[in-house]
Order: sequence, then structure tokens, then C-alpha cells
Amino acid sequence: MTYAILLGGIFIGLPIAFAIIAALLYFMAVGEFPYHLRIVATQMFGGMASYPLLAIPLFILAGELMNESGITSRIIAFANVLVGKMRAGLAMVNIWASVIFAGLSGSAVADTSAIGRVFIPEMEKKGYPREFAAAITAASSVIGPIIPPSIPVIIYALTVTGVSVPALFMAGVVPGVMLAIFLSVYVYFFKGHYEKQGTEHELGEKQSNSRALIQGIIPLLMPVFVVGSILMGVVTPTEAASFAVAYALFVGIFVFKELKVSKLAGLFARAMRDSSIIMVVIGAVAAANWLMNYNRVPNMITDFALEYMTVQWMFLVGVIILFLVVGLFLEGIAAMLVLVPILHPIAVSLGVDPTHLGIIIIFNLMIGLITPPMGLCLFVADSIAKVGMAKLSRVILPLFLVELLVLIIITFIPDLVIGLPKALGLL
Amino acid sequence: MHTLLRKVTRYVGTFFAAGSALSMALVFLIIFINSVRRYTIGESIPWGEELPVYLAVYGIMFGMAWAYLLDRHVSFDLVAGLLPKAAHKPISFFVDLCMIVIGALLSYSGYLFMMKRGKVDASSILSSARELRDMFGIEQLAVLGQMYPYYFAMVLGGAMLAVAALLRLLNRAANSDQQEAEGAF
Repeated sequence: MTYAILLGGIFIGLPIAFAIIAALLYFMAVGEFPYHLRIVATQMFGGMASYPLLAIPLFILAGELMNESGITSRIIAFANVLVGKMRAGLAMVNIWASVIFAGLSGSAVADTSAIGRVFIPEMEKKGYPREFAAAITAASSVIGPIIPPSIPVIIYALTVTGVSVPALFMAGVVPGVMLAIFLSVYVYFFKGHYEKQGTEHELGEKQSNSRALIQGIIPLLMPVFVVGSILMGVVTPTEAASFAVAYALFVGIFVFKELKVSKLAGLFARAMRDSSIIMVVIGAVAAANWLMNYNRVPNMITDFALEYMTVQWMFLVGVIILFLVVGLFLEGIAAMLVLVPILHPIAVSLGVDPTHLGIIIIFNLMIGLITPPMGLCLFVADSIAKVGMAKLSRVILPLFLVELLVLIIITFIPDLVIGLPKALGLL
Repeated sequence: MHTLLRKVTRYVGTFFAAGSALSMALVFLIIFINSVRRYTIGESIPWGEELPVYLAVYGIMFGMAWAYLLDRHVSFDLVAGLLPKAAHKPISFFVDLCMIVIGALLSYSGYLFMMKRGKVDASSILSSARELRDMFGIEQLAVLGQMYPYYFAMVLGGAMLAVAALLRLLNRAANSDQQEAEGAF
């Protein structure tokens, strides 16, 4: 009955967090000692009440403030100066603007929404099919949570013991940049013919290259400052996130002068609302994990898996397939919170570095954002482009394969992931 | 009736939004000021790490209810989407009804939790709560040093979720749009 409530709830459209809560409430209400209805609220509270988790609403708030400060047009102008003159220039600007945006928001969905509104119509004007413009926007936006600061990284670090946030932040840099390079190579060779030559695109503000570079550096300083201070051990990720908010407020109000004080209450409210969507999932899964741990489910799965998975590569291939399949049906954060505690001990037994595993999982889940039917970035891109999910799903397939290729490379060449944190003495 | 429903939805939306905004602002201010103090004068506020955590739980509860009112939570609607259009409305009604029950049960679960464990001291807030009590001479202020007021977030959160679901159900029945749910923000 508990599983029927969970699956039935999900299938009729009950929000995933509440389908989990409903199943747990039922289980605890009908269960005998030690199960008690009280445990649902107890474990949810325990799952959400964590100081390191406060970095999530603060980073989301910093991203909201930066967006409201007119940062998107400045980032696009900056990327335009860097790669806009190349073949398939506009598609390239789209990809590299996502890389820069990644350092500000850490959210792929926010990136798709902000970048898509500017790029999809502009790319269409330049000759790109509308569905391709939407597809490349969604595909490049998944770089966001791989490059620091990253919300999934913070959640992963909390789920797994003995993994540091700074090491994970640094571990995401090379895979994130690699993904941008691979997507750029793909559009350069295979989609360059779309772009009409001789027509000027109108991205960002009309301004000189030097001004565009200077204005683009101001938002770029935020991730440098945030990640730098965490790496130097000066601040914790939560404190760094509060400094990011202060920096965004300062830049928005005093430097760019586009952030209106009258809008702050709305921005603060939306940041907490959007954070609560993630945090409630964390709370619900924390309660579900308590039940699983109480019944030693992770141990049983670990013992079972270790009987059959005796070598590292088998495990890693299994992880990729598992998360790609799970990502089709389950929201990313929930999937990570449920599966990571089970996979972590197996990974350790097989000698897989937990930092490496974390980036593989996060990369996998980000690919899930562009795979139908649960691909949130696809939905957001389609809500802007209005080309239909069926058409968009077909066009995104080659981009999905490029991302899968990068995932396979970083999975089997661990130094691409853990090389940088090792070089910086973080591992 | 429609006007009244729209007004109530707007007021409730504004209330949820205000709770979310206030919590976010306080969490930011306390963490930021606490960090600056620590790195400048080498002193931090005793409750500077514990209180923002509880304020954030309140914010999550307000945000959770507001997000439901605005239909922002992550759900998997593919199966429902495959059904004929005529089935969508009854399913949505059923989902809202389920959410009212879930909200009410969550609130009750929170109440049981608060009554069982609320007496525990909030370690880093305890001394400040006692100082407040002595300063103002109000005995009840000492309760801030216990977990009751912080665990109450779960009771309130469940109740607000049930209210949000009820309003969505009524708006659906009245074929009213959900714009009012944004509140005054």
C-alpha cells in the first residue's frame, strides 16, 4: 500500500516531495512500534535544519539579485567579444555565456530561462531553426551546476562523509569547461551553416569591446571571490554565499544601478520560495532515508551489489546507466539523496574516489535535465520557444550524445576530475 | 463569491510571500553580520549559526505553501497528461484533496513532534533567551531557549500547505486564474 501511494501519487501529478511524504505518513500511521506518525516531522525537520544547507537559499538569492541587476545582457556582451566572431558565433556565445552564468547562479533552469529569452529569438533571426536554438540553450545550461558554485555539490557533500565542498567545486571545473568545448566543436563543425553571414546580431548593449569586457568582469569577480575565499579556507560555503549576496546587492545598487530597493522584498521572497522547492525534497527524502536505514536497506543493497560488481569499471558503467534511467523519471535532487548513500559504500569498497563519483553523478543528473520526460531545462526552453516537446526532443538528441561522450571520458579518466583539486592540495 | 475568493487568495499569497521574504532577509543578515564580526573583531554572535537554521525552516514552510499555491513544485505529470482532457480537472481536484489531507497530517505529525521533543534546550540560544526574559521581565520569553517555537514551524507549515491546497481547489472549482496567488510581491 505504501508503494501504491508513492507511485500512484507521482503518476497522478502529486508533487514528488509530497508523494514521498504521503507514503511515509501512511506507513508511520499504520505501522507498529517503533513507527509513529511523529517520525515524519522529526526526520523532515532534521533533514532541513542544517547550517551548511543554508548556502542553497543564499546562492539562489545571489543569482536572483544578479539577474535583476541586468547581468544577463552584460554576460552575453562579454561572451560575444570572446567568441562571437567565430563560425557559428551566436551558438558559441550561447554556450560560453552559460559557462559564465554558471559561476553566478549554479542553477541550470535559471540559466535556460535567462539565456533562452535573449538567444532563442536572436538565433532564429540569424538563420538558426527555432528548435535548435532552444535545444542548444537547454544543452549548454546544464554546465551551470557542474562549474562552481553549485547547489548539487553542496547537497552531495552533505550526503557523503569525508568529501569537502572546495574539492568538489574544483573537481567540476575541468568537466564543465570540457563540456563547453565539446559543444562548441559540435556546433562549429555541424551547425555553422545555419548562421547567415553579413547580418549583425543585436546582443547585449551596443558598446565597445573594451567596455563589454570591463562590464563582464564585474559579475565574473563574484564566483572568483566566492570560490577563492572557500579554497583559501577563509570562509565556509554558507558564509561565502552570504558574501555573494552582499556583493550582488552592492553591484546591483551602486555599480550597475539597475537593482531597485523596492524590488528587494519580492526577490527575497522568490529566492526562499524556489529554495523551499529543493529543501522540501531534501526533508522528505531525509525521512525516507531514515526508514531505509532503520531497515538496513542500503546495507543489503551494498552486499548484494558487491557480490556481482567486482571491478571498478562495471560499477561506474552501472552508475551511469542507473542515473540516466532514474533521471528520466525522478527529480535530480531526490534521485541523488536516495541513491548516493547506497552507492557511496560500494564505491569506497571498489576504490572509487568519492569526489570523482560525486562529479559523475552530478554530471549524469544534469544530463537528465535535457532528457524527456522529466527534463526541466527542456520544458523551460520549450516554454520560451514553443516548438513542441516532440520536435525539441529530436533536435536535442545529438547534443545529448555529445554530453554523454564527455561523461564517459570523465568517468574513465579520473584525473580530469580529481587532477585539479589534487594539484591545489585539496585531495 | 469570485471576488471574495480572489481577495482571500491574494491575501494568503501575500502572507506566504511576506513570511518567505522576512525569513530570507533575516537568514542573510544574521549569517553575513556574524561572519563579518568573526573576521573583523574576532567575535561571533552565540546564536549566529543556530537561529538562522530555524528561521530558514520557517521560510521553507512559507515558501512550500506559496509554491503549492502557485503550482511551482516539481511533479511528474506525464501519465496525467496522457489521459483525455476531460479527466484533467477531476484529477487536479483529487490531487488538491490529497494535498489538504497531507498538509493536515503533516501538521499533526509536527504537533506530536513538538510536544514530545520541544522541551529540549536550544543550546546556543538558551542564554540569550534568559537574558531577554530578565531584561523585559516577561517569563514567557524563556521559551525561546527551548525547541518548542522552532519545532512549531512544522505544525504551521502543514497547516499552511492545507490552506494553499484548499484555495487551489476552490479556485479550480470557480475557474479562477491563479494570478492572485502571487500576492502583492
